Amino acid sequence: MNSPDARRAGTSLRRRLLVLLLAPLFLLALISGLIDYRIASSTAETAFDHGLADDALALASRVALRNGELAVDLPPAAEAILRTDSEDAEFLAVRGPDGRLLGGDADLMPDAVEAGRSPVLTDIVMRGRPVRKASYAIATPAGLITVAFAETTNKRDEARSRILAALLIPNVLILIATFVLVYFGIAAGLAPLNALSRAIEETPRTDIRPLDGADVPQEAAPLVAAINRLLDDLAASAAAQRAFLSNAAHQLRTPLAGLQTQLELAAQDLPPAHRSKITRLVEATGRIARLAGQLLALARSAPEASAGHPVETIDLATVIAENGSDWYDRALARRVDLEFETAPAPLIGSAWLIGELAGNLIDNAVAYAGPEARVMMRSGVDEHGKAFLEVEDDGPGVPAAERERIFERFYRAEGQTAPGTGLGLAIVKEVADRHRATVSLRSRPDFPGCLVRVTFPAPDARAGDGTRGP
Amino acid sequence: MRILTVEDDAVVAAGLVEAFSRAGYQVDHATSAETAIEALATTQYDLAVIDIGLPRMNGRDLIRHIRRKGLSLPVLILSAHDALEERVRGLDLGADDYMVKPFQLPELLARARALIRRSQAVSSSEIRIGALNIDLGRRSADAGGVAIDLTGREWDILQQLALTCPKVVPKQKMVESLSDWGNELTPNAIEIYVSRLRAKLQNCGIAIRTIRGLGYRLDELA
Repeated sequence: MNSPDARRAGTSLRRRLLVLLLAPLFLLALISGLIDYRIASSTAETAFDHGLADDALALASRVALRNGELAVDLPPAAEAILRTDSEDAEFLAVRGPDGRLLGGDADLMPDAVEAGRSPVLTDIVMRGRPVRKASYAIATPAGLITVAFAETTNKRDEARSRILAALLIPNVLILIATFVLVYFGIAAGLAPLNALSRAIEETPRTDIRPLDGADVPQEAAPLVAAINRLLDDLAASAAAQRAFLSNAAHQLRTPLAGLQTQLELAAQDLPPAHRSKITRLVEATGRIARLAGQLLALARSAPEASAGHPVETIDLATVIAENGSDWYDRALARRVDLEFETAPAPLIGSAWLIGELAGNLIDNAVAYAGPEARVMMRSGVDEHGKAFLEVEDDGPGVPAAERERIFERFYRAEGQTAPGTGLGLAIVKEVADRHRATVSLRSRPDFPGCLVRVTFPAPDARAGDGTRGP
Repeated sequence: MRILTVEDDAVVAAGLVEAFSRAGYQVDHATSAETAIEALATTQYDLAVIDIGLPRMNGRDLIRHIRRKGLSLPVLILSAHDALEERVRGLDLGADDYMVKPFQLPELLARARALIRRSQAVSSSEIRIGALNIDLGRRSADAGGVAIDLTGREWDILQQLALTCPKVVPKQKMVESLSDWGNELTPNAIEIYVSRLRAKLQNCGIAIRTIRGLGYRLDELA
């Protein structure tokens, strides 16, 4: 999930899962909360209503017929008890058959209810406040008495908000917990996929061997299989292309050998004054031969060509000792002084490819440093235990603008007249990539000449990496 | 000196035959391994130059056949394949040297001379390089009949260079073979002996090259 691509909103698996999981969960929590709230608040309401009804009945029991007159026997102390409530204001009223107020608050009107039935509860507004009112009626010999007992809704509101809080808090906590679990759970669940994408990302672009699908989750297996099918096709077509290149280069060599031999013989036949033309032809043939060889080297440095040359522990000093004599002659032919300074430098790789790499480095230095230049090749192990190979010359160096491009295939520096195919450094780069080696370049003006250094990974680090070596 | 070339490409074959003929060798040419086997059965050659990619029986099988028959003539492989294991395989089969096509004639002739020289040194204990005659048995050298006066160390160096030519004698190997118990020669001392030897071998058609960091090489001047 760390790469910018994976974070794109439209394709984020995490976001999709979060939305898909959390939206229904939120809805469910809302519905269940509503239902709980309704049930809990109506239970509380019923309990409060019971109390209110009891108060109304108690009030009604205080009505007595005294001297033929209806009267409310409600001494101030009893009224105080009835009206006492810590939270709410209480109102009461007792009215006679003609609606005359027998006692209590004049602005409270009992509803017209049937005598003897349980108190009827209604919501009204009194003195600008919402009030719950219980109305009750009793039939007396003197006529119908109506009683009303009312209280403000503070207790009820308080109870409702407590119920709401009691329901809301756990539900919100559950939602938050789910969000957190899903958010990080998805990351953990996607870890194998991330590992897979890292594995793909860390693989050199030229490495097109199938991915290892062993640790991939079941769900991603079809993806890996599809990628591997694609890689297989790619490998097959690349292999076919390389095979063609390799074949073509080989096929070129025999006719080139014939041509070169005949030209050399023809040159011997001619008087020295006329030899120069043939000599140029021989040189041109040599360049074609060199190009064929380099195309072969490029074809062979491809990862899928690994079957062609064994990977083993080799020593750069040995590779130099075996090829140095040929390189010396190539330099000598251009009047370049080639020296060696070798120390044992073990690495795991292909001796043939490393030989090509080194030879191309020298050819490049010899060609661009020019006649009378000095070229030095060194091998050794650096302070990090890594084998290195370097070629230094005292030529004009490489302009900063061209340092990246000189490793491209067929790139030739502007105005360059030195003979070359433009493939030498591309081969250096390919072979280095193949061995996971890094190529660095120092040049004028901050270095007296030009120094190309190839640093190979330490042999131990490479040994642990079994599946995707060269 | 008689050389057998086994090569199926007509142009290359013609070039080889002509180049060796001009260099003073007698050359027989075979276009297939089968004809080469017949030729080898009846004629004694000093060198066989064999192409790997032959029709039907290939060059590797031919070399195997030659060594199985107990023939000890030096064999030089000429191949369009330069992969290392191809080279190693060829040399393992009993070939003495390996050259990749296309080749330069002077190098081919130098390698051929070196192969013949080494195989003859075994039988006659004499080596000829350029105008130089080296008699390994008598530990003496002369150039065109004029004896060259060499010290023991100079002789050892020349012998080693001549036997290894045209390859490089690593400096360390030179140091080891010239040093004896309790008398380790420094590379500087070797350099002094080599330059003295160089001075004595002027005008012999040879050059002793110092490849700094690698060693010494005896070159035959064309």
